[in-house]
Amino acid sequence: MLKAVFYTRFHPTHGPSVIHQYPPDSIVPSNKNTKTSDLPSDLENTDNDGATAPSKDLPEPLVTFSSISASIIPAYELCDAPLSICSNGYRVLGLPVSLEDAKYERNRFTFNVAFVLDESTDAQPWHRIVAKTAAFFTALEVEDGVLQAEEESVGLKWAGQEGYPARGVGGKIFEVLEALVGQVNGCGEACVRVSDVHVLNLRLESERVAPPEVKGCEVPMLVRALPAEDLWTRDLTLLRILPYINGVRHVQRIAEDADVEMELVQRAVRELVLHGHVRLLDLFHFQAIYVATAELKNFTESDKLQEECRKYVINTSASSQDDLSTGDQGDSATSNRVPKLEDLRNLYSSLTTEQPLHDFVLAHTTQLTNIDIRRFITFGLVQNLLRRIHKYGTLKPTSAQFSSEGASLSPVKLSTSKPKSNEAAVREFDRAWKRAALSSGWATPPSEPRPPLLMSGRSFRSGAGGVEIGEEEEEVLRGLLDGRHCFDEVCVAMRMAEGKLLGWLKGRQGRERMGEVVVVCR
Amino acid sequence: MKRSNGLIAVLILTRSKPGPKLVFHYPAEPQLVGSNSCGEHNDCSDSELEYDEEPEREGSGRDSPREVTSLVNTVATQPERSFSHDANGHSDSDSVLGYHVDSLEKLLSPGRWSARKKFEICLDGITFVGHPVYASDNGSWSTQDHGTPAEFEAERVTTPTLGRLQTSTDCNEAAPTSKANVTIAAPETVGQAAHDFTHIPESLDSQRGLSLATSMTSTSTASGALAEQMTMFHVVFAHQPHRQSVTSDVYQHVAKKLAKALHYCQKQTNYVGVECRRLLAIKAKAKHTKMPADESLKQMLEGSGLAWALKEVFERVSAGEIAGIRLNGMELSVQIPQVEASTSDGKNILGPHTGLLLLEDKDVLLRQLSHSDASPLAYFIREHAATKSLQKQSTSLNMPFRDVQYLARHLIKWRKAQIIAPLHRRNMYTSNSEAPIDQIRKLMPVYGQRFASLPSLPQMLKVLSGKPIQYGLVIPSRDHRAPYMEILAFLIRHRFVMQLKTYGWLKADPSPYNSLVRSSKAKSKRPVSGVSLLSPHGDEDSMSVSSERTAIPISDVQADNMTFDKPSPDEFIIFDPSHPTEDESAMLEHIRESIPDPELRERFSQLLPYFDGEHAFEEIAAEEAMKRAKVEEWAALLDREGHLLTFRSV
Repeated sequence: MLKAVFYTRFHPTHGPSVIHQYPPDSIVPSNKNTKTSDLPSDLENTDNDGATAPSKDLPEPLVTFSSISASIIPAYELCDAPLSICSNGYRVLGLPVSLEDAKYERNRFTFNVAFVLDESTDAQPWHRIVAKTAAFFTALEVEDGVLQAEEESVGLKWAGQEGYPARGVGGKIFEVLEALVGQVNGCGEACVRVSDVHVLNLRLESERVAPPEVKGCEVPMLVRALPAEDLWTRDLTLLRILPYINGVRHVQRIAEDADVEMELVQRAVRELVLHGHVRLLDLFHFQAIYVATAELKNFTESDKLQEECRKYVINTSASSQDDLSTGDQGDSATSNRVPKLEDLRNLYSSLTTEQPLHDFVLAHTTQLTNIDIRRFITFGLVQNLLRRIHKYGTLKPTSAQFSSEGASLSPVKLSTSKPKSNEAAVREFDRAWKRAALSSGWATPPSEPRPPLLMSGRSFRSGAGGVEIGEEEEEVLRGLLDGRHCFDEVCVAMRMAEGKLLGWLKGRQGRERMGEVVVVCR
Repeated sequence: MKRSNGLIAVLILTRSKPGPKLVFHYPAEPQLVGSNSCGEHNDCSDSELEYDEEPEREGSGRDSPREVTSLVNTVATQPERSFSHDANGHSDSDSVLGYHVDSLEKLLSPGRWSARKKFEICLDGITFVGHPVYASDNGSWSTQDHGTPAEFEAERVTTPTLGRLQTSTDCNEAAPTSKANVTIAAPETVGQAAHDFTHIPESLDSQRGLSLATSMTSTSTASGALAEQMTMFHVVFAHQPHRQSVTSDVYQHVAKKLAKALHYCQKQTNYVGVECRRLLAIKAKAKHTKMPADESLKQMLEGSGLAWALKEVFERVSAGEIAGIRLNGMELSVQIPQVEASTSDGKNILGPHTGLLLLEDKDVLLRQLSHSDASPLAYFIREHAATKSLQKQSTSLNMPFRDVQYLARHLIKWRKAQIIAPLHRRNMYTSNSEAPIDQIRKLMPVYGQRFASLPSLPQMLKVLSGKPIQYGLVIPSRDHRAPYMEILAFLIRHRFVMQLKTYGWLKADPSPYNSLVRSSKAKSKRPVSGVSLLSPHGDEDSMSVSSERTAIPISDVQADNMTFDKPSPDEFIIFDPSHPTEDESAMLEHIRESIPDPELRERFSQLLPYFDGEHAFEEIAAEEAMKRAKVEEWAALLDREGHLLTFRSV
């Protein structure tokens, strides 16, 4: 809520002066007796508050201008940059502008259009409005000299003078401020026309927080329809990937299927997330573990939500779609097939860390009849009823790393660290330069090892001997097993199923090459 | 865990007759946070997400609002603000944060209207917040004006009975010490007091500062004729907040507290005046001898306890830590409280049945206490057990509950403890969704050392992240209880696990209704492939499973045409059993009568308030003074009879 707007400038003889204000009396009260003395004359002297005491019958000014005038019209050095100050429970936002030109007295014209908000109001969305208004006023003055000219118009009243505001005497600034306050407070937008070329368009828009980067294993799902194509220009990436966003494919898969570069897909999806069109889900698979959250209370207590859930999760198979006439059967037959709300409630509450999804499905076959389990989970995730338990892998420190990394933490000297065998040393060296080569050659910054896309040929084959992991992949895997990347991410980057990967890590080969892996869920 | 508060500098300004003066600021070359500048945000809110460019834009963040004005061709010419040194390593001593010192001095020394109020000004994304303090109208700082000391003292003294239990991190100890120091305002005292820095007595400047200081104090403040009489001082914190609330945090917990403490010192011994004079002298000398900036900073830090204190505050608080400083021999701690530590929100109220978890080892905490043996705090810490509720601790320590509560609050405030439900082997614990898994490697040796012969950290985590079980089932024998509870405390302290609680409602008239038709149909049918919006084509490589494979389908009914029945009449949940409707009362009565256990029948109404989906069943025993085993047994009984709908969550 905008409390007031005022236009103030440094007057060559009066010092900082409020010329216009809206609402009238908001900053400088009209004081009939001290018509001239309420114009503070000294920029330096900021201690003179109380000098402009308002008369009793008038509303209290929002802020005492003389107190803050030094900040509203600051030193030239501070001009042309946003400046706001809090006073008397209000926040005054402004962007002082100082124009230098020989045509002005003292060669300068310094002004500020200041916005007054409650101190507790979030000022963030207003900064742009203030900046744009300042730019608009600057343009008015620089191009057409409107501000300076207005003061010469006959009959103009300054804020605080008797008879303010004087309408229809040539100046338009008061009307601009009036319209601005009215429109912005009314509908969050303003369009104020001063002349054909000078139109001020403002919109109060709160800022969206940029979502984190999208991972390759995340599954975008449209939760709100995109605006029609003729209303919203879609970029090429979005056009290309849109048919592939179906709540099932993960980002990397979309990139491959749509034949678009991964980074572009990530970027496009991130933008959809920013605008609230897409929710990111985790990869759905039957090894996943889900648990209920405290939100389940609201679900259980809300019939509406349960109905919505039922409509969403009910299985719609193709065979039922081909013939509409079979749809309106007797109620007795259909009601048997509709999942009961009771079942939905029970199903959500019986998801625990105990079982991965496939066990859960097996254990609840009866109740899950006619329920699309993927949609069931998706609904739970979107409504925050469920939380996915992710697996994380972290490599157990080898004894050598133990003593180096944990030196500060554990004074225990590990006497067991044997001198490394020659072969092991060679392998260590080999790995070191590979790691270096990987981190330099790839586009990803070395500080944050991201899974490089292993587009060129798959180096593991699931042959008779199980999984084969090449040396480059091994390095990538090593980077991913740091406790910060969940197994979905690792699996997508490695293009392996979780079971196979875990099998390999726990198998002989994996143990030899990677050491022991600690797998933890959270 | 720690929030960034975007603190970039601390400044102290004074005002005297000749005008305002920036006395000291730290660090010498404040670094802007960049990404927190509001200019940057302006760009981000465009529909285009330019995250590729973020790293490069750090520096340009501040300039972007300027572009707005430069777009419309401002003719203003001004020196470009720069934050770096000149090429020759000399910093531009006339500018701080890219602004001329003169401008800042004028801007940050507001008029008397701002006295002892929050002063906040935001310059192009940098917010300055402070609490200006003025001398009284006649220019005196003396304590004749009783308003403020009383105010300050009211804040200091909390509970008289606990006067002696302060830790070194508390300011409450201040009173006796500072009074002792009032008489000797020699720099040696200051040097000793702020034990962290060394004073250089042979320095000429400090000598001069001393002489001035003593004369000031000896003549008291009656000598208002002194031209350089300080009329105001103002400690300002410059920061780039990402949220507006950060500013009020910085003000409330740091700027205001510090200003009040300094005001107190100033009234007692003209502390601020003396220190500022000393700092200005060093500054003047540095300017005269063209001393390098870092050298003069070093001298200021070494020569003035105030400068050192401000540096400490800045460094600690900007790192999200607690700053412990000494002002004029008086101890003071400031911090911006962490969100989770705040005791104001409803959930974290320290009730009699809450427990406390120490976040550091007992011996570490005890070492930090100044009077470790005598104080009640030390006693409390020594005897503390995470398995006991505050009520129980109050009984076993023979200390009034209010005192225990006070001690607990004190520990929480200074981040030495957190509120938990008392640890119990009958509780269930599960992995925390914020578990620092990447820390496991580091913590494994620490853990291994403490719990040498017990299951390893990964093993414990694995057990606790599996099937939810009572913690007691993990403990192999009665003798192992204590160490296993220690392990649990360790895991909670490091945020690996948290308690899993059970919530639920009573339900009435459950029906054994179960459609055999449905299940048999489902089993006999293979899933049918189909195309819907959400179902993609199958692919062997895909790990995500599509709809056709995730649903047990209905064969012959169009879903849209199905009639959705009202909530099944055969299950009725009583959501608010404390305020039942008429029907619900009848149902509750019916449930009660059907209970076979006579004791439960008797206690049934006592349990009712907990069956509202909001109160954890685990709380019942403590709150109602029942046996845990009994409560569990009853809940199991109700569940068996089909009267209970439960779910578990953290």
